[in-house]
Amino acid sequence: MKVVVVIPAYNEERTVGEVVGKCKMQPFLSPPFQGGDEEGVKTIVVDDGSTDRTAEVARAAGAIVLRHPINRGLGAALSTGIDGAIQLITNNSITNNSIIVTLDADLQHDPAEIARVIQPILEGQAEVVIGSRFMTTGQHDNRTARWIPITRKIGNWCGNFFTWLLFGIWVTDSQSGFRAFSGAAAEKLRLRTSTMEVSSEIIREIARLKLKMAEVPITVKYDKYSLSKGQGFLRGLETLWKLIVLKFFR
Amino acid sequence: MLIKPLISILALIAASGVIRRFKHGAISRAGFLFWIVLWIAAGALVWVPQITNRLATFLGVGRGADAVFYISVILLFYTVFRLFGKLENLEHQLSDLVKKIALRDLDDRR
Repeated sequence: MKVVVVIPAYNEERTVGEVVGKCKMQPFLSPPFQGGDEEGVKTIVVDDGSTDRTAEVARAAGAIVLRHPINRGLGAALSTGIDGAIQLITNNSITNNSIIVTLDADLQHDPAEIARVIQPILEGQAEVVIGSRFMTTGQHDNRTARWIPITRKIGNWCGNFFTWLLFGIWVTDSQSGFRAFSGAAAEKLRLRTSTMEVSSEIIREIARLKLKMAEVPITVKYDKYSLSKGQGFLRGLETLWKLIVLKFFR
Repeated sequence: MLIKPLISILALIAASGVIRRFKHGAISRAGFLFWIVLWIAAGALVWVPQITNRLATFLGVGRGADAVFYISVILLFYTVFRLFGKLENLEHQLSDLVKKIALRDLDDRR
């Protein structure tokens, strides 16, 4: 069993080290995970052409760094990271039972929740898991959802609506960056978009490949820093336009 | 009637540009023919606008100027979407190239 955490990062020197460190600290030692840190979990940081010290900081924290020579956007970085993870898994010939997790480099996601997010895959109930900021279940009262700014909530709801309209699957958080894929599912993904629309493209791939999907509630930490990294209104409109092109012109 | 000579001059400039680009091998023979015919047609239509009326009657649009307008809009839309598609493909190819370069870091580690 191997978990590879993929972290796309663009100018995240302030936070990427801590994220990598927390991923490395996860107690994946207990069954079904075997071995120590080296065996159990690997982190890949995709430095998407940063102009700061993102790559150095990530490497110092113990991550494998894949470096884009120029900035290409979230979609390109995720695609590189997932392909890199698959290559890593294949090189170490652990094709069975591997899991690829993606999360953001800005500390808005808590790596301690990886174990919970990958649970449905471990139990064989899902091939893809989306970590949802808005979902509440009986066991998990998603209190942090209350602290998400209302503009973000509306933006996210629009994202969910258009994702559903264009690709036919309703998810409570289509724009979430916290996801998990079984190795086999990740290999089937064909991601062609380069920027923010990749989140919805992943949902499209789930629909196209008829992958078993589950949603797991996650907590989220928003501050000035992570908010500046997300999509504002104009970026949202641009993403929507690209999704329409993706649906009808490609 | 300033519009007639003005459009004619513009069409001439555009046509000479097309000829120059064709000589330099920047556009194909088919592209050359298409653009030359287009600009000659533009020049002709300004001096003999009755042609557009025939076209309009043929298409059932009414006025000649309307027919030209509709056809232009359709052509423009088509061009924009083709450009957009090409641009998206280029974006994807560029990202693919960047990915290949980035994944070399992984090979180097082995």
